[in-house]
Amino acid sequence: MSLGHESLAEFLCWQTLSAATPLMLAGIGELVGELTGVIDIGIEGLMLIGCIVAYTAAAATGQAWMGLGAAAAAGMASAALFAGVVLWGRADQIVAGAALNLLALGLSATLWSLYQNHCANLGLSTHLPRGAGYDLVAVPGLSHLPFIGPVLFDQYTLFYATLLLAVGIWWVLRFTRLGLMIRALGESPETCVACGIPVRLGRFLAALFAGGCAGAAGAFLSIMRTKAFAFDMTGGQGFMVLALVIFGRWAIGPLVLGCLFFGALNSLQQILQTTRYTLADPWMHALRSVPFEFFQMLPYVAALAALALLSRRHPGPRALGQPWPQEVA
Amino acid sequence: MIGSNVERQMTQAAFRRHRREALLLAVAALIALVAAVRPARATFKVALICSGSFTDGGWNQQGRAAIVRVGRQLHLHVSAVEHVSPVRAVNVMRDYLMEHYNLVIGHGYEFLMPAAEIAAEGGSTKFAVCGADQAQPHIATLAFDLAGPSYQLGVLAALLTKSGKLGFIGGQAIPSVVACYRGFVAGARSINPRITVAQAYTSWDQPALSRSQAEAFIQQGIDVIYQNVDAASRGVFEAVRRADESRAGQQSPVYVFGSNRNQNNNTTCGAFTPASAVIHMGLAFRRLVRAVQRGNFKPGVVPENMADGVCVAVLNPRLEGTVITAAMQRAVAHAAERLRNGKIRLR
Repeated sequence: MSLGHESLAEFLCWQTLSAATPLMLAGIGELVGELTGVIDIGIEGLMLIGCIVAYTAAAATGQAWMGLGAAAAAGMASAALFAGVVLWGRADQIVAGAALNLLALGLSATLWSLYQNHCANLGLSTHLPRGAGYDLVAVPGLSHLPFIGPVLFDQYTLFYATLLLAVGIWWVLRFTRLGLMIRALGESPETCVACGIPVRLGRFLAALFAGGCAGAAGAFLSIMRTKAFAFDMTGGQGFMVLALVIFGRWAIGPLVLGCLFFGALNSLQQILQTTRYTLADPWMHALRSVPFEFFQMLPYVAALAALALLSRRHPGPRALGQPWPQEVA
Repeated sequence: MIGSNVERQMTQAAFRRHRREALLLAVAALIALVAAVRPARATFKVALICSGSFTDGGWNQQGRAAIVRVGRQLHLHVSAVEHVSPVRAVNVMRDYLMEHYNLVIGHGYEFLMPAAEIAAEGGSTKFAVCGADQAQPHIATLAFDLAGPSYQLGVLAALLTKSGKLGFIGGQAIPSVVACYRGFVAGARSINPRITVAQAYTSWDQPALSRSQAEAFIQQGIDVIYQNVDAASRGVFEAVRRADESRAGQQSPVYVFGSNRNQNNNTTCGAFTPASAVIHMGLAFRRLVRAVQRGNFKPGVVPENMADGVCVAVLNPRLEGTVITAAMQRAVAHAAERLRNGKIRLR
C-alpha cells in the first residue's frame, strides 16, 4: 500500500511516479500537438476543465470511468474550439491559448458553483461518493516484490495507461508512417501538401489528442489523486508541462525523464520539509532555520536551470506556432 | 332672465367649490401614494469583498454564507463580490462608498490597506477588514484568533499520538495561520514537552500538494495532523483515509484536525477527525452590523477569540467516549478554562 513503504527511498520513488503521472500524460499530448506545429499554452486550462468535468461526472453517475471519459471528451471539445480558432480562424496560437486558460478558469468556477448549488438544493454532499473515484491498483504477484513492487506496481490505473501511451507514441513517432506525417506537419507543411496530406486536418486531430490527454491528466488530479475539486487546483502544472516539452527537446524519452525529474524534486522538497523536524540529525536540525519557501522553489529553480542548459541548440519544429497556409506578402 | 343669471352664478359657485374639493382630494391622494411607496425606514446596506471564490470550500465561502445568513436575520441588503484583487479593491470599495453602503467588509488581510485608503476619504460608510491584526485609522479589523482553540487541539493531539510526532500543514505562512501552529505546539508541549511538531506550507487550493505533504508526514511516523489549508483540506483527508484503510487496525490510526469551519463531519475520514478549530463568522458579522446600526462602531482591532465564542474548538461528538476519552475531554476543557481565565497567554 502506498503509505506502508518500508524506507524513505521507496516512498520518495513512489511519490515521484505519482506526481509525474499527470505531467507525463499532458506532456505526451502537448508533444504530439507541438510536433505538428500547434502550440497550445491553454493546456493549463484544459487540465482544469478535465478536473471539474471528471469530478462532476463521476459524482453524478457514481462511476469513476464516466468521470475519466467525460474529462477526456471535455478536453477534446475545448481543444477543438482552440484548434478551430487558430487553424481556420488563423488566430495567434499564443493569444488563443491564453484566452483558453482564462475561459477555463471562469468556466470551471461556474460549473463548480452550479454543482454546489445543485447539491445544496437537493441536500446532497459535494463530496465524491465511494466508488466514484479511482484508488491505487496493486498488480497481483508483482506488488509484493521488494522495493520495486510497492514503487512500480502499486500505482493508479492512469499511471500504467500513461506508460503504455508513452511507449506507443514513441513507437509511432519512430517507426510508422503516421509518425513521419506528424513530424512533417510541424517541420515542413509544404511537403505534406505536396504529398496530399491535409495540413489543417492533421493539426486539428493532433490538437484533439492533446486536449484529450490534458483532460485525462486533470481527471487524475481530481478523481484519482485527491477525490476533490478546488478552484484553480492545477496550480500551474500545465505551464510546467510546456516547459518540460522544451526541456525534453520535443522527444518522448527526455520528456518522460524530465517529468520524473520534476516529480522527484517536488517530492524531495516535501520530504525535506518533514524530515527536518522528524529526524534527529544535526544537518536536518540545521535545516529548520531555512524558510519553507526555499524548499518550495527548489523544483522550479532546478527545472529552469535545466531548461536553460539543455534546450539551447534545439529550436523545436520549424513551423511551430505558425498558421497554415502562410500569408503571402 | 334674472332667474337664469342667478342659476348660472350658483352653478359656477358650486363648480368652484367642487373644484377646490377635487384639488384637495388629489393632493391628499398624492401624499398617500408617496407615503405608501416610501419604505418605513432606509434599508441597511452591507457589502462583503472577497479575493477568492465563493465556492472555495473555505474562508471565502464561509464568509459569504455568514453575511447572507446575517442579512436574512437582520433584514439587510447584502452585496457580495468575489475574485477582487487588492489592486481592484480600491475601486470596488469606492463604488460602495458612492452608493452609500452602511458597512463594507474586506474579507481578508489583503484588503487592509485598500480599506484604509478609502475610509480616509470620509463619508458615512464604515469599513471593516477580516483576518487582520493591525489597527488602521477609520477601519475596524476583525482579528480572528484561532490560537486558543489550536492550543486545545494541541492538548488533544498530544494525548492521542502514539508516536510522539505531530504535523501541521498550512496554506500560507500568514500571521493568522502561524498563530494556529504556535498555539498547537504550545498545547501539545503543555502535555509532553519533548513532542515533535513538524510544520509545512503548501497551498490553499491544491489538494494534490496537500495530500503529498500529508503522505510525507505519515511516512515519517506523524500520526496526528492539524491542517489549515481551506479548499485543499480534502487532499489531507484523502491521505489520512488511505493511511487508516491500509493500517486496518494493525497499527495505531492517523488522525486529522479541521480548521476554520467544523470539518468533523467530512465524509472522507470523519471517523478519524476528532476535532476542529472553528470560526463562527456569523457571530462576528452580526455584532459588527449591530454596532454600526446603533452608532457604536469603533475603529481599531476587534479581537474575536474564545472569550466571545467566535473562535472555538469543537470536538467530534461521534468520537467522544471512544477515541476521545473522558480524561481527554477533561484536559481539553481544562485548557479552555485556563485560556479564558488568562492563566495561559499565547503569543
